[in-house]
Amino acid sequence: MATGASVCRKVIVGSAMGLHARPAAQIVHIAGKYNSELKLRRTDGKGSDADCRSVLAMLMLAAGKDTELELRGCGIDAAEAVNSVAEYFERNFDDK
Amino acid sequence: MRVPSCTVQATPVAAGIAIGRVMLIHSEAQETKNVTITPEMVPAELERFHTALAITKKELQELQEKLRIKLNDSEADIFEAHLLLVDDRTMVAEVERSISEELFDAESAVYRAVDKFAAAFSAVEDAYLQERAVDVRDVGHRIAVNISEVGPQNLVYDEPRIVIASTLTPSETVGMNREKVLGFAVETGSTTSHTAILARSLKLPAVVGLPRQLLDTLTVADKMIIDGFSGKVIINPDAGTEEAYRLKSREAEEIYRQLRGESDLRAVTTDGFSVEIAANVEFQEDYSEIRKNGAGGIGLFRTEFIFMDEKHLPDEDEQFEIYKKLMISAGNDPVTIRTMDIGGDKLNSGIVRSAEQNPFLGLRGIRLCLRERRDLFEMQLRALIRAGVHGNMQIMLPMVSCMDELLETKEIIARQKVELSRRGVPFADSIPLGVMIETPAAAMTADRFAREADFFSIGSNDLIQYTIASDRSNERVAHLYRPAHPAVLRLIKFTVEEAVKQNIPVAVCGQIAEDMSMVPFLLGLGINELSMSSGAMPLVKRLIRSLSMHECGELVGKALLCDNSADVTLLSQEMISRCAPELLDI
Repeated sequence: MATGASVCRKVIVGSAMGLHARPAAQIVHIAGKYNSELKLRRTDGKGSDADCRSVLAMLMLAAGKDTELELRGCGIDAAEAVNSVAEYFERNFDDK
Repeated sequence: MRVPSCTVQATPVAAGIAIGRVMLIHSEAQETKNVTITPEMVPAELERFHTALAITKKELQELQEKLRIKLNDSEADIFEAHLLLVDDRTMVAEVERSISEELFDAESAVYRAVDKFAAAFSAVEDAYLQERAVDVRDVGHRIAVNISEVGPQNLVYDEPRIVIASTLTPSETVGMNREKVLGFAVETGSTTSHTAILARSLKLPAVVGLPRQLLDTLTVADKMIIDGFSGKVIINPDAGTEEAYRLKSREAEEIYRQLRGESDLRAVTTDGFSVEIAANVEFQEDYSEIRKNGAGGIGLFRTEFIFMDEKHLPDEDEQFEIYKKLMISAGNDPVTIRTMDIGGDKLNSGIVRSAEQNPFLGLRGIRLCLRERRDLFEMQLRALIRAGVHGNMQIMLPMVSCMDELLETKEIIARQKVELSRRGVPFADSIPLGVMIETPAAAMTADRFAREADFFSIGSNDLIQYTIASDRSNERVAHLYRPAHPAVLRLIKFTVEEAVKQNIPVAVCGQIAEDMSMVPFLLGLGINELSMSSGAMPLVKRLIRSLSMHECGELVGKALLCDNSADVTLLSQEMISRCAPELLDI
């Protein structure tokens, strides 16, 4: 994978359910469209980096409603990738 | 960490001595977490894991498709998450690490990874995430089940090993890489279990009744001796013990080597009576090899194994090819094929439609064929009579208990002939049809059966179990299961007498045919043919050549009047020690 720019952006879990299995699965889907590495981590320092291609890792963030996360992308299409995932957060995981 | 040196007593089920390190095979996805492997086995275990992942993924996709119709999208998305868990990077990486670095087998590695993640979830103060522990366990269990179904056949053992297991399914035993197995030590099972039968035909030593705690503690580093003559199992033997066993093993081999040199000699008693020796042949065994061991035919070909693969039941043409190949390999030698004996302990969930409280008294053998699976029975009979044109075939029916079953089968065969004629397919018109005498009911009405059947074959394992009402695999009553019980001898005597009146032959194809202490009685009772595992033939033939029919007849007279089986066994042992002392120790 070609190294490219590293892009970083803060996102907040808006959904009442938190970052649960369904949105985590959706993030894996979104991340899969890009070549960049995408990682999430809690800004409060708890837990470790979670690969956006791993449902399990994202669930382990235990990110409930209002948790602030740092989304970091690294690779040639990092900017687009980070934007797509961030938008999904902003749409509150498309919860109805 | 090795288990301390110790000796335990198990039950011998296949003769011989094996010395080597152990390999634990576990089936049915018990939650095993401590099974270790050697570094050489890592690539094979990784492959097993990845094969299982692919299967699990496919299963979940199919399940998701099915449920999508019933569930709303967001519920179906939960399955999507399950699906992603299956090849979740974090999960896969953890399992791979556990296999390659901690040297756990694939199932243990999966369960350990699951534990780790589930524990992490449970620790979080979030009810939703705590519940996700369940998802992880669910997916983990699915993968583990599939790993066990991928089966040990894919295992590449680093060195030949003694297989230890709680229980081995027939398909696991059949699928095993034979060059890499020294012998079997299994917790459950009996002389008549498929593991034992197969071990004997492979000439590999085997014992059953291995204590549970050994299965939990032994690792790939532990060495074991199994003595398939006495049933002793020695864990991590000292050098002296191991040497003694190597010597014993060589001596036994020497006698077997001598005996194999005599395999062309016929089984004729000292006073000139001859007995046919036939082989019980397993699916996929090569008869031409067995014939070299001295078989004059196949006395029992079990067809259950053909139906072992639950996902694929062979159709008429596929079965025809299997039977045809068997007939051609046998040339002019007689081949007795038993129609499928499924039910009882021989389960195939693709065939048997419901579990029973008491399967041994349930819908098994001919009963299942005539009631629930007449479709399969008709198909098998068509395939058989078609293959009959390629040799000297006999068809044998298992678990017969009343005349109607035989008569109904005759009608079914007649109808299959009409069907085949209509299709213009060639078939053999006059294949002898015999019944197994394995229920006391069949034995007691042998006079009636002898008028309709073309031959009898005594299935001693079931006949003994049903006569004494004792399940040999139940250790609390196993001591009652005695082949030499006078009741069993009386049933055989009546069966043979009635067969003689109608001039039909009687064979024995159960375990007692190769039981040295029973052979003199079978001779004396007038049995025409003994069918056994190929490994036992040289020994039994030597024994028969050492005995006189006249004396065996007298021995039977005494045995029938004995109070109990121990006295009966003493009679024959005394005779063997007098006539063939060299065979006593093996």
